[in-house]
Amino acid sequence: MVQKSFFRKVAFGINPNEEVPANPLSWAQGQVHNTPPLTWEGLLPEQKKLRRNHALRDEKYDKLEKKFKNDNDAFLEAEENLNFEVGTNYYEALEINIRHHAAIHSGSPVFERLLWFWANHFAALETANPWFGFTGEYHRNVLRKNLTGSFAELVTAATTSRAMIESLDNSDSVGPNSIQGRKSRKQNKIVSINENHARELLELHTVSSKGGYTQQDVINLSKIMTGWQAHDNEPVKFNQRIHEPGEHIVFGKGYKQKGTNSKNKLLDVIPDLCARPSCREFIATKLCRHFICDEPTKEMVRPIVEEWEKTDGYLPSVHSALLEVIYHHNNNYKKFLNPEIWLVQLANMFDLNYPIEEKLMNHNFSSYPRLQRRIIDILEQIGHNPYRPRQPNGWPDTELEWVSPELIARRFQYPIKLMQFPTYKRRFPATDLNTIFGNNYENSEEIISYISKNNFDMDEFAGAVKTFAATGWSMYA
Amino acid sequence: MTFNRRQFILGSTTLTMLGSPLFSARASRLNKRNLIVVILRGGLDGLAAVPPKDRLLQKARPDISSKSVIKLTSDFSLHPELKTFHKLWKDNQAAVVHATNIPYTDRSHFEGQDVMETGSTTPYASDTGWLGRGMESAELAGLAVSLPMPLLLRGNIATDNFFPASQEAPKLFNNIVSASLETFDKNSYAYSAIKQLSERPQSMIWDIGSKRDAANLSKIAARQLIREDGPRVAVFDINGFDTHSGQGSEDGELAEHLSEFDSVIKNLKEGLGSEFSNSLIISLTEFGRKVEQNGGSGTEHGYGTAILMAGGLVRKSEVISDWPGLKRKDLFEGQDLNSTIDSRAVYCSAMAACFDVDFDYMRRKAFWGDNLPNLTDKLFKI
Repeated sequence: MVQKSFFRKVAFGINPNEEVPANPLSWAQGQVHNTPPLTWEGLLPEQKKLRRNHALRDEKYDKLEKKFKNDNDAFLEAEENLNFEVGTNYYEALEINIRHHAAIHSGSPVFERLLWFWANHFAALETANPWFGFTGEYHRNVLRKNLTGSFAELVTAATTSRAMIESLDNSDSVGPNSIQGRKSRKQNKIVSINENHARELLELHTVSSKGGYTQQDVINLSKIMTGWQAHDNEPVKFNQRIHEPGEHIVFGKGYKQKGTNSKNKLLDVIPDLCARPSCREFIATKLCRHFICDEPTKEMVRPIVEEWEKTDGYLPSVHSALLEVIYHHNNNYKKFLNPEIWLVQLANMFDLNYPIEEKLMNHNFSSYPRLQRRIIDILEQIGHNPYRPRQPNGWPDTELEWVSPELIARRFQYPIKLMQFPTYKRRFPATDLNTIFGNNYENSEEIISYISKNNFDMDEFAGAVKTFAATGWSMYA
Repeated sequence: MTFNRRQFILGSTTLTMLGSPLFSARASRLNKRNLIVVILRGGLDGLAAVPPKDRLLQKARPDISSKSVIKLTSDFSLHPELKTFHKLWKDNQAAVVHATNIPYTDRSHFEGQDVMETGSTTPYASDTGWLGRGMESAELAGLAVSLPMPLLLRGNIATDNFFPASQEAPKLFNNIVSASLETFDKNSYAYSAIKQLSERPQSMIWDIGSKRDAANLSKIAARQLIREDGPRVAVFDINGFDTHSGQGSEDGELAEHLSEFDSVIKNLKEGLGSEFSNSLIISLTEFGRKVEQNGGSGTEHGYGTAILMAGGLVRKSEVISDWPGLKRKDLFEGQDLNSTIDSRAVYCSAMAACFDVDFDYMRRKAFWGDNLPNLTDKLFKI
């Protein structure tokens, strides 16, 4: 009999209004075949709109700098108003609300957990192009829509996305023998490729550092990638003028242009990288590490790798195989939950009024979106804003990385903020703790007795959430 | 075999520290010396921070060579943003080790940072850091000024970390923390972290402020370091040295981050007061950057770089280097400044000097006895 921790390993626990699924594995596997529709009824900004606001800010900012050259105070005030107007600080907050809304209200929490995994695997950094919510938009419009095809298709979509190209500087990469490169060199300008994106495509996204590639492979893949640009406020386009012409060899195989432009070179090399054994080994292990335990065993990884081989990395099949592995190993392993999953799980298990509802998320674009930023502010404080990992390798998956004294202190300190939501109302009398813990734990009596012993809050329900949040039961699945 | 005093102390006090992790018996007997490591993440361009006088460099970097560098010696200059560093240099309290790196040449940030923090020669081979092991063997406590615990400090159970939060700790914080221990597996990492938290002094729980800029963080760190029973080691993280584009010269990405580093030095100097003379600030990065700039006014991942050191424990102001040169044949793989000094020798010597232990003892405990030259007398006052 699978323990209820399964629902917290693959989803966000069971909400007190839900039935506990009678067949947990088929419940989970039923969620991986189609992309569930978003249930968020508020604003869903498109990239074009974000780019326009970004451009508007650049343009007006330059004008303000000139206008208030000699009056710094006036400049700062004008800048602040400009930021309100274009939604700086707002869109990222909106995206997190959409993300958490889907986690709790879509009815497909397993799909959302898988999306969170991939969004972290293909980590784009909001800081590369900050404050406009491009990262959340990328998760929602690029990654979310590519989880029901092959892994190679997902890699292609991520690699050619604006967010990734911006994060890894590919727009700056110019082939020395390209049309533009030759012209610049004649004018004695230095022209070169930028290896950043190609290196991470190999190391982080596909074959991993154990994949056996050489520095020459990195250089050649960089050359293949020249031309994929997302300059300034433009959409992604392939710019043949800066693309390095000719054939380039990666892992011993040559890639050259077919047809009128060289776009195909990147599109051809990606499936070959994805088909390498080191790629499926790497990803299968990482999936197990994220969902089951810090040190996955060969027995966990093997069935996923086999399914990958059989289906050429068809993601619904790979995800199904993964869920079966989690199911089989669930009772023998405990997984430490990262701060964001822990937070959303608390909100879901206690059925808090979470996240902020659609109409409260609307913004007047003339003041600081303080209320709208509540969730993103909490996430920053508990050390885990999913749009802002420090580096392109994303947030870590192991307990050791998440348990510094200070990071743990934050989990004791911030659940109170969940109780201070403008929409918070106590929905349950304390007796419903039986339902809440009964749905999610085998040892609910022990948990309730611990809470009653250590809850010193005036508000019994809020106190129960806070006390429970500071225990090992909430932090592991 | 002579039984030396330092080893005797190390051998005899292991148990004491278990009872009192923040203030071991050994720590109480030593003259207080502080070691502050500043991690410059992303790969510091040593050639821009401390540029050698060489026309080849200007030629390779027409767009990113600063014209207003500060002259240090006949052969080397300093980036203009390192103003405090330069002041200290004039007082014999700052030095540079150049053309140095950890023994890692594969140009991946993540592998490079792993190696720089573990002190191993292969990536992902150790789950503890050289500084953590060094402190553990010297029975000293430390403090990381960051939200996560850097790998560099792992391996030492007496290390706390802090970072300013947006709100105060809840009432009865210590009670909540202590109560929760019973809900964790005693063998888990989380349990150890909570145990450490439960022993956090009140003065630290309430001394956090809310500003998270380097200036405020370095002030708080200084306040903890000067406490008689406070930590002896502090670690800072500064991100943003991966200057693939817009690296700039006097202004730009690199200038901005070097200025942040300089402000850490400045605030520590002010905050430590007279204790600055018993302190050493030392930089750490995963690799340097290619000699030639790229097309985006930036630089690609390279190999050799520079270590910047400041504080009263620096022996004298000088650039210590076995300079390999910048001619193509002298470069690593024809592209990068070479490394002629294994930087682990510098860090091992720094720990020996600051922790008052034998270099060889430290080499065995922190670097698995790897063959590293003893630079303690050459670099530091002991």
